[in-house]
Amino acid sequence: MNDPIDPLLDEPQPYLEDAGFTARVMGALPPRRSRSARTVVLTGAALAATAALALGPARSGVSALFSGRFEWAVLATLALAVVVGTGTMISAVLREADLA
Amino acid sequence: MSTGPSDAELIVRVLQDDDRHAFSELVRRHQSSVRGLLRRLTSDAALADDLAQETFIRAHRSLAQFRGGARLSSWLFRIAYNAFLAHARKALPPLEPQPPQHASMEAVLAKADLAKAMECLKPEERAALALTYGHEVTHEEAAEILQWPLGTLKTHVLRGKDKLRARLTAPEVSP
Repeated sequence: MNDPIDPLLDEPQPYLEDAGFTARVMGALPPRRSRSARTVVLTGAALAATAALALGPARSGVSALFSGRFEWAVLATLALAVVVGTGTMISAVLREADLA
Repeated sequence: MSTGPSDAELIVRVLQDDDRHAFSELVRRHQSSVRGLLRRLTSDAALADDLAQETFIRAHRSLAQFRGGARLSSWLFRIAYNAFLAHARKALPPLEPQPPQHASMEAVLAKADLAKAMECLKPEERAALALTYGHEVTHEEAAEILQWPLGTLKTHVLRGKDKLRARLTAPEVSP
């Protein structure tokens, strides 16, 4: 015997018109992440890292190069600083262009 | 016929670019089923819409945790149920069900105020019935959404139906 409750529960649920619901949800979402702020942070970090390396190991590497006390390890550090700084800045710029 | 981007494609756009247009499309697609489920759970359209809004905001915040293998609707149902449960624990004292009565099918149908009768159920029983009826969700899927063993789900369905039957077939009480 069929359960008399089943037909009541089985009633198909009618489609609910949006009636502004989606707009209310979108209005309640937190603000978007700022692309410009992210780029500024990334570029600033890249510049700071480059500056820190240039004033430290890289500076001693350049002076060592000109004073004849050349060391491969110091030169490698200098090259790494240039690569890391440039790479990070390029990445930040490309990311910004991709999101725009 | 063009059906537009899939849910999965829209999710990728939201995650990669914080694409609000893509997320609004997801909300538009699933709002009816989520609000419908919550209306069955709460028997209150305004409260259901508030909880549905909370559901989509939580979904936006946690979208990175969505596993692509599952249906987005199932994942949203789980968030909706959790939102309902959190609300129910704070606000809804369960009503005592009426003792079982015998009645004809006509009597049952004549008193088919299902939404009101659902209020006598525990939140777990409401969720089990709301998901397994009217949402094209199988018992297995419902058990996964609610994160219960299948046997627990079936127990809640049976108990819920027993209580509904009792409620809907109870004689009218004169004022």
